Amino acid sequence: MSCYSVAADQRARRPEVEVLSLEENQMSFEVKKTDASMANALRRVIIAEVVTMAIDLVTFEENTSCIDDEIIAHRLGLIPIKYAFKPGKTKLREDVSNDEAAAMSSERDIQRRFRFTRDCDCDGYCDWCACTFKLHVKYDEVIKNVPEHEKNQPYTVTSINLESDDPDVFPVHFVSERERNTSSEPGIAIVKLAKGQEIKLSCIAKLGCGKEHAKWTPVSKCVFRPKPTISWDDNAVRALPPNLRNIIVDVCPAGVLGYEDERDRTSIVVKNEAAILDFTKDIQDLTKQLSPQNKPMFHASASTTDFVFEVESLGGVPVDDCVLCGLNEIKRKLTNLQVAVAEVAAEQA
Amino acid sequence: MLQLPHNVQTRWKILPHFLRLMKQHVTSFDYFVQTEIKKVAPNQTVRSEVDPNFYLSYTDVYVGSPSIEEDAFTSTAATPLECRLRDCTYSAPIYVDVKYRRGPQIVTTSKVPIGCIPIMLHSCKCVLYEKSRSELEALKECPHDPGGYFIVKGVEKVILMQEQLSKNRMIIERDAKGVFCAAITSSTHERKSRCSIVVKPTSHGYRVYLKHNTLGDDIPVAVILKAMGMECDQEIAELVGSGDCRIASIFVNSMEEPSAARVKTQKQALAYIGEAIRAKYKAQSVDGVRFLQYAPHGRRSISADEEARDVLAHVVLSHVPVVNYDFVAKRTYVGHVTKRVIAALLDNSLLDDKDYYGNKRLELAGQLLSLLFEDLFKRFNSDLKRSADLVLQKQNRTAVFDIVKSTIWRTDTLAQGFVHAISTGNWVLKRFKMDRAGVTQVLSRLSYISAIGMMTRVNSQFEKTRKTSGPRALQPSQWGMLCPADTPEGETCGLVKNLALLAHVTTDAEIETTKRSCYDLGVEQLGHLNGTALNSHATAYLVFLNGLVIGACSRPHKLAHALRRMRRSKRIGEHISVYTHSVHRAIYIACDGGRVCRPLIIASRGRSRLLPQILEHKTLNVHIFRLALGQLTASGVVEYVDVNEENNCFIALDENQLTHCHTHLEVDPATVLGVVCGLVAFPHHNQSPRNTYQCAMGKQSMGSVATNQFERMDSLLYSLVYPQKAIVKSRILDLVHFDDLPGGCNATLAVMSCSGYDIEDAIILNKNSLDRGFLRCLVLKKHQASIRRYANGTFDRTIGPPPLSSFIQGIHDTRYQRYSALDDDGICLVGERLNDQSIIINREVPIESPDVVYSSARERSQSGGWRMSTTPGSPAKFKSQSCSYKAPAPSVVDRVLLTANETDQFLVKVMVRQSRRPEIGDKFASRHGQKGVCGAIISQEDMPFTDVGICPDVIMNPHGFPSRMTVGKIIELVAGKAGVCHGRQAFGTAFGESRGSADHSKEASRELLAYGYSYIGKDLLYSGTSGDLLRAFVFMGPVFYQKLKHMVMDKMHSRARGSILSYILYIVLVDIQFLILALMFI
Repeated sequence: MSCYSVAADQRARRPEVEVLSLEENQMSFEVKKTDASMANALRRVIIAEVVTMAIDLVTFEENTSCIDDEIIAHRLGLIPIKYAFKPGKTKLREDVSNDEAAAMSSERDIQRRFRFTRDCDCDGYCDWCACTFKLHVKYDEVIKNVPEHEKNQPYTVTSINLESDDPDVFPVHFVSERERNTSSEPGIAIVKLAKGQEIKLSCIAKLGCGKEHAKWTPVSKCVFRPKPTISWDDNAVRALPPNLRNIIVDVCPAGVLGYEDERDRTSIVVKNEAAILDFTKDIQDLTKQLSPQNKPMFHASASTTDFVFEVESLGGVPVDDCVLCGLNEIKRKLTNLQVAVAEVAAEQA
Repeated sequence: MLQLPHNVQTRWKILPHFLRLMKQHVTSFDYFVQTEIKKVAPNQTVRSEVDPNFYLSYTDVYVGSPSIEEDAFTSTAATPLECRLRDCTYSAPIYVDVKYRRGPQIVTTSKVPIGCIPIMLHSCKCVLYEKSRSELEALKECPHDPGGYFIVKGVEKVILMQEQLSKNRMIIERDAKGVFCAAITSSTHERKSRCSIVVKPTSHGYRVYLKHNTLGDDIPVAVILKAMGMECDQEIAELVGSGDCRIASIFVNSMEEPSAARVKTQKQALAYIGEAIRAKYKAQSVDGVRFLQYAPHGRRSISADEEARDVLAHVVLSHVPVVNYDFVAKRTYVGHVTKRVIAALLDNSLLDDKDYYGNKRLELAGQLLSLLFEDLFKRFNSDLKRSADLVLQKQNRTAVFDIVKSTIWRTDTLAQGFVHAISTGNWVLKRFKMDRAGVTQVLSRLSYISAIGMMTRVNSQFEKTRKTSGPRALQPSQWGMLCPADTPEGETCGLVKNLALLAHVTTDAEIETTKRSCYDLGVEQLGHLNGTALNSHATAYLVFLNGLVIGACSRPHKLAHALRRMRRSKRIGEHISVYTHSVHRAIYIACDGGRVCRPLIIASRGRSRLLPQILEHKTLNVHIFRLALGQLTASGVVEYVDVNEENNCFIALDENQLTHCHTHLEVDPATVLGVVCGLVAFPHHNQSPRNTYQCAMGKQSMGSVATNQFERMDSLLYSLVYPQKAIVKSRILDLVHFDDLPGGCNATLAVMSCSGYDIEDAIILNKNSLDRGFLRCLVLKKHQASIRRYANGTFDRTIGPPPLSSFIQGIHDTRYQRYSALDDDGICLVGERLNDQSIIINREVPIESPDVVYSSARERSQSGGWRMSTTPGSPAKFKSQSCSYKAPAPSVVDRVLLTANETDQFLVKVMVRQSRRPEIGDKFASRHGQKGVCGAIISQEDMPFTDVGICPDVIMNPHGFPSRMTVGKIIELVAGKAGVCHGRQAFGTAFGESRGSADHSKEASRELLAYGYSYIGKDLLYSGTSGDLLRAFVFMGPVFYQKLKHMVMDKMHSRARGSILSYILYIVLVDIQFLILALMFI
């Protein structure tokens, strides 16, 4: 490990992004030619400042379930809410010009449809700053539709039962298709109802960001790691007897090190770059012992400029949009800073 | 049935059966209700002094089923929960069968109630007795509830086990002056007395005396023996000193004394003692104190020697029975004691240790209740006699006097007596000069573990203020009987103890049958033996039964062996202990109640008798399996061994350590600990005080109290919103079903220094974890008001909020806002929010004091006939006496209960709920005695993270480890991390690594490696604030964290009211004081 500082020469960097993989709810990408502070800024912004929607106010009309109002409200808050922009159908805020909307039509920009409630001039909440949901489940009624053998079981109220008033806003039941197929419930469980119990409530979802409450965080995982730079003294490794090479491979957990060619077994390569930094010292110590010259055959150090990101979305915002929103947020902050600096400069001048 | 992994040893399979956890109380109560209560009654007869023909005798006593008396005429069957909710007493009527005289004829009546007795939950008289899980759930009881407590006036009360020095046993010790003496406390049904035999250093050398309260001076033992009919000096010398000539050479001094006092015959000796007694009486009557401890016939006309004989027979060493003045047993006893005191004088190692646990007896609920019942029953009878006398004095009665049906048959003596004793904890029995306070305690329902822990608690009778270390120290003889870890800190340290997992407390067993078995096995009766036969014969041992000499036997080991074999086949009681003592040359057989014992597996010829096949083929059917377990004690596989008998045992810890010398095998080493200590994972790796601290803290941790916790109306209930099963559990926790009622949460702990807000054991919490519900808790508080009806016909009422129009500022008036939660009936609505000063129950009481109204009403009715002055329901005025909410933070009304209790009060109970997320200053603890308050709450983006995206919930400073040496926590983390990776709960039972009940740390490390983690449990973290790699590996993984009941929100205190001026004045005064102080120092 090394302590690294920002490069002395302040040439303007041209960071590059390479997407390594993009799946339904998770992505991995590499950011090159930047530094740790930039990468960390992106990570922090994605966790804490991407604007999403979450249930914030719950009004109970009836709750005879075994769980208290506060806890149900808390559980409802944690359900991810998705906003889907439908071009042409979705009505946008009046203060957003149509040209702007058409030019940047994107479903990620939830703020073009909703305002923060605190910025809205309405009394309480309105269609432009909030979306209402309704939940009404009565055990004795829903149980009629349940197959006979499940009649004695309690009924699980899930996010499926949440009805949105806005066709563009709806709860997310599953993060991915895989989860949908493996789940035993039709959605996110809220509460179980027994015979005679009923729950009736309405809730209001509002805009917010992860800084205020974790329920507005769009991602479950957002981490980066510096890309390791790895070098092997291949000649020295090749010179070792095969059993010693095996020992080197076994010093790390399975799958971290491996042979370049399984049949040949002469040169060792790193199979899992993500984990290698944890074990660099172990490998170095071992190879140093094995080496006749008492010299480690392996070097790995964390890059100071290249970083690998891994982001996993909760489903409320698509994973790529999380990253783009994060970048936008950084841009906005920098612009604000620029403007503020300019103002100060103007004042002083 | 418990799920057991395949590698577990056979020994563990039998453990749940022998886990009599909390059952001690129930067994003791059952014994009282079924057996002992019947022994009390037949001795009692009520006779009248007026009518000699009248009598009433009891033929039988029995206890009915629990019920609540609704009013004088109806009573309904009671369930425990109903009693808790309605503030009633869970009690059952006591019935008697009586035979008495009604006018000329003798009548027998059965099932006459004489009063009520509180019923212990889960005892044989309780409705919950042997109910299945679903039946318990139908009764709204928690299936994991241990039972063993009482419900008195709606409060759960436990009669704690009381530890005492055993009765009727001699203790050889040095008294306050350093003189060697044998102290014997005799206790029989009639009286309790203390006697001691001392060896006094005099100018003639050591001399032996007998001390007793009734005998004025110390009487020489030789005189006592002569008075007991041993007139011949040679006999006396043989009895005491024929075994050891050194003893004889000391005792020879004492032999001179009778002749010096001119005592040669029994009559002379008795006269000598009689004089001493008279002298004492005289001295006392001069003082003006009429104190007769013993008055045999109520008259003083008997001669001095007869009186002395009576005293010797029935008062001195009263536990040794003397029939027809046959003193053989008593003089052998005195001789034996004398011999032992002199032997102790010669060899100090023969002194007894008072703290040795074999000398202790535990008094349980059944025994205490039995004493109380006897006392109350006697009082009931004497009241009955007095009232009967009054009735019978009247010459011309209209009806025949039927005592059972008359009004003098008062059932409330017993009912009130029991309720009063249990609810106050004051056990006052004049007859035994017993006056104890704090016998009962309210069952702590802070957490499930605290309730269980309370049922195993043992209270010592020692004074708490004394700084003596002896009784507080851990005694080696407590091994396996008492938990070495579970004791409070501070003044009661070591005095309040807890039973170990398998410890069992015996109840009284039949003495006569045991005695008969002994005689059948060749014990020779004392009458046939003289001192020489007892002492000089090399293999002659005295045989003691419950501290009494019953005879001697020449082949003691054969006797012991035979008795043990009989016990193993259940031909005599399974809790009878046989203990041979080669130095005392005695066999001690004990069958009395209150001894602590524990089950051990019998081993013979180097092999355990518990063979796997005993259980294996029967495991399929649970019922048969249980039956097989029941047979274990009867078939000589397992037996109960008490503290004394353990001295004759050679116990192996493990099966592979067994040799031919071993007699027993431990069930499991983990059973030396108690239940509460079972909460700790890997306790055997911790520094011992840490386990003690955790035992205290586990009782304060929140979680689930019971499965019926939301049905209950406790005055304070803490509950976690999302309690979790511990990722590292122990077998002991499985036995008490801790996974069903857990008391904490698994937290991802990172041991690192962060932000500086973690000094002095403070911990740092992740804000986003708290947002997601980590360690959130509910606090429910009860508010209660009773709506009374008074004797004059007036009554309290509840009314709705006053009309809005009566407030000037309308709805903004703060006085009006106090009524916001109220419904029209004057009681708050469920779900309403309560702010400070909000009214919960708007009660109004009639303004005139009830007494005044009542007396004025009577005056008028005397003058004006039948008319009452105030018509019921319309008193002149009411004044408000509302019940309001007082707390800085708002709450929500959770439940409202309207009910009535036995005394016809209308009760309103309101539960008020608050849900709290952890905040700065709240107290948390892991299970290793490591508590800490929350120092800072940091949001997730600032928290360190690993490259796989794990972010700690809790950060703890590494300085917490070196001085505390809680290695168990480190192992818990590693084992837990491996368990999480593998998707299973890890095990951390005490001493379990080699026994398949705890995970090896080595195995866990190997597993971690396989899942791609570092084998020491350390991870590479990145700083959340800078994004840099932290320059050290950080120890990180799941650890079970408890939230303790101490929360800052409850610690908010302020002065209630008063003028601001005086407060400022106070501050100024304090400042002036400081100023003066400062000036003085300058």
